[in-house]
Amino acid sequence: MQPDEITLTVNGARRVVRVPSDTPLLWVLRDALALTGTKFGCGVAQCGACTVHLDGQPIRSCMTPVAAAAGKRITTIEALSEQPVGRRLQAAWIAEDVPQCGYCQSGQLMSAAALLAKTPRPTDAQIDQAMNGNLCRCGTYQRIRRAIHRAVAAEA
Amino acid sequence: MSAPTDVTRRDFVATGAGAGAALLVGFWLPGVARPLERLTSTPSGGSPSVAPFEPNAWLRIDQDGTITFHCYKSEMGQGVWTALPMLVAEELDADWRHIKVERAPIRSRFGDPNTGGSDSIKSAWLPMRRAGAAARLMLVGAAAKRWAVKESECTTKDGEVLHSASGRRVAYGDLVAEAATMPVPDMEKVPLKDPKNFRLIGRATSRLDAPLKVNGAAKYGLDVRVPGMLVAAVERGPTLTAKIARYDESAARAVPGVRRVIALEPHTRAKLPARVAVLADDTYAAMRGRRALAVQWADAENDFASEPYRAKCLSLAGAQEFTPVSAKGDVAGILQSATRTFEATYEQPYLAHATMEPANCTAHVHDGRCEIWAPTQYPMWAIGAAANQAGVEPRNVDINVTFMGGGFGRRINPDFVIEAVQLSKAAGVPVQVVWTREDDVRHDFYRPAGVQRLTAALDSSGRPIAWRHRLVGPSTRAFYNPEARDKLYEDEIYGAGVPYAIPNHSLEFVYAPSPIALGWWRGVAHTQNTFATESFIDELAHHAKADPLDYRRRLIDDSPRLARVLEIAAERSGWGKPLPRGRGRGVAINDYGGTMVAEVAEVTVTGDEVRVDRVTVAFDCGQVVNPSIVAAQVEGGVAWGLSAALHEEITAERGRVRQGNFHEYQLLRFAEMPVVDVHIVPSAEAPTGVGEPPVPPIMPAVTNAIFAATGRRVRRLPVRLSSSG
Repeated sequence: MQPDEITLTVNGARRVVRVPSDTPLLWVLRDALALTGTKFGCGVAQCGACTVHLDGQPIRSCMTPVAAAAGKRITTIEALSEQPVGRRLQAAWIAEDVPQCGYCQSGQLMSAAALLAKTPRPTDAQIDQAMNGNLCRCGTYQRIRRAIHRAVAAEA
Repeated sequence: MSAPTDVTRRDFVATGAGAGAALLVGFWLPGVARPLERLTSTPSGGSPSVAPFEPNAWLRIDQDGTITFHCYKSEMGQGVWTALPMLVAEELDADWRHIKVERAPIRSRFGDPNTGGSDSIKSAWLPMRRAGAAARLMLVGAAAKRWAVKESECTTKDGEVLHSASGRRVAYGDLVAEAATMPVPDMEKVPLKDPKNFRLIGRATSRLDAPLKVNGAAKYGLDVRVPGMLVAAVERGPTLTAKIARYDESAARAVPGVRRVIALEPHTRAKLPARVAVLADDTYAAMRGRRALAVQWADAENDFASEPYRAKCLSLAGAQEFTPVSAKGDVAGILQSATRTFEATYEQPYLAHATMEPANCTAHVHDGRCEIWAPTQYPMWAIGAAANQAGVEPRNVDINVTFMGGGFGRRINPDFVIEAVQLSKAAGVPVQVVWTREDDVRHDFYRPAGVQRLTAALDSSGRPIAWRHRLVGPSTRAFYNPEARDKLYEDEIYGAGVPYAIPNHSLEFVYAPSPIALGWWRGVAHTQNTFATESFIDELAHHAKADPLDYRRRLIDDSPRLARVLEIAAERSGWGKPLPRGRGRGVAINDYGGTMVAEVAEVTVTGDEVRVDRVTVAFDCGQVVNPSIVAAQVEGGVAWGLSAALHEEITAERGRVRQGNFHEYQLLRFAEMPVVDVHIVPSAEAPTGVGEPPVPPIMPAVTNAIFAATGRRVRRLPVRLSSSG
């Protein structure tokens, strides 16, 4: 497939890329736009390391063709701090010493931010449901739960 | 984890022969006033008007007061980026807010960069404190000289030298020029603080790498970008014997962005099969090119399959021939004559590491040099292997160690480094090799599978008087040293000893060769042995009609620290308090290289479904540097072991590993995480390991809890209640 010219809105900026339209958004972000905070973990939407927001919805960028993201707002971990909820989550993540290796945490934070945007005061069951698609091999799940609760409390 | 055996040593020797760099291996070059070598890859800290004070390899103090610690160990999540500078800052009386960490280049003067075996804090405990203390003495000396007072009249606090008699004070940054002229104290004799005066060690200081890991800024191996770099995706032979029959190079080259197609021979020593690599401008083009290759393999199969292997191991568990490992007393005689003997057989599968960041490496071989950017736990092994592959002297290998998306032992082996060097050498440009998840799971170095048979005799009071432990399985030593003929059990017996008073005890090994590649997996052989021994002691307690925790308490042999963690876990878990039907508690303990662990798991069993609700851990790892990081490692270790106990299993058919992605090799997920309640036991002992010790006990703690809840004994992992008896 030959490259196409595709216009994207990434973290508020207009970006034009020339890639085949079926290229997963993940690789466009990482390789064409040098936004390496979004991670490759599985390539088949099983681990959540590649989670970004598309018009505010959490999506797995490894399975999303770039063409499907054209005309929509793409938000990556690099711009999470531009949202108040993102800043509260980042502060909570640091306060709870959540990251170990840290590789999955971009995806964890993007999933958590999408959860709080929709459900500002989630129950544990809602947290389970929202976060179950994000694997962490270091086993930081307990601290992620605490950090989400802390971020909620910080808003109050 | 043990150090890799002869293969590694050969590489180390090669390193030494070429570069006079044998000092690199586990050798501390004590603090030196001036760097012995040019700092080729340490980023500069601005352009100070006064040269910074570099009292030793690890430390640099700039005029603005910034204290830079050169972290010489690999940060893979375990927290060395924070805990090692805490050791230095404590003795230096630094203001923690002034501490900055940079990755140290791989140079002999920093000490052994290899990171594994839960060893970093244990081995750094004295040297890093001495480094801080020596720098402090030089700063005090400089201040005393400036003020013309005695050094003994000066004190230090929060990055300043104080002279209380005159009320004078000076910041460390203002002393750097003078401190650099002071004599370097003898590192072996420099006085260290009494632990009761610690201000930083023992405090839950925030991780210094956390800010980088919440905004995408931390750079991992896959985030390396080198000008002119191509990305390689590699189609791999399913087995080491596989040969490339044919592939469609033109189809791969027709993919836009694809630049090169390179066939690679097997590298048997690194366990790399024959491969066809597609090099492209970007990752996805390389992956598409790889798919277009449609490689066909010849001789790609062998007759190995994990299910018959399991059956073979089970039959060998009863074989007449075995290798005695250790023996105390007359086990055979007592088992023969005793009236109450019991036997149980435990089975465990091969396990993959499945680090979240798949294997990868970037290399550039050019002009007689080899540059490497790698997420590696063992840079020294990587250097030796890269030098051999590139055909350059080890001193001409520059290795840059990145943050790594998990290590867990997988990144000890340098196979991915060798592959990147092969490709850069062939292509003549920098190459980043990117493994897919399927590559990573199918071409791992696995935790060995095995069968363990335990036999014991109880006396009339229910105490074990004889205990025989037979291990059946592959040999890590034989895997790395095909010539080895003796002590094939060397790596397989870690953790096989029991902490209980049993007068007659024997350990036996039966070698069952297998072609599956073996490696070091968080917790290594302790994971298998502790599952067997802590399950079996639980079974014996049941036969003795004793409470399983109380039974252990009465049998613990001369280990007050182990007895104490067991007491604490009992108390904090509410051991003995009644639980509703279908719920149960199980306990397991281990002494892991001096770290004492007791874990109580509380489970709910509904039909064949097991849910682990809560895990109480009492943990004694000696003096604690950062309690938050220790607790995080314990929580993570429990999750790691639980993931294996409940889900993980690598199987093989026709010589090939069957599992590929996470739908086939399932890991513990968020909603399955129990509450992990960690109790760190205060201790005055020198620090011991933290990363691995929490792993082994959780597996038997869970199966023992299942027994308590249901009366069903699980002797095979992962737990599958639908198929166990």
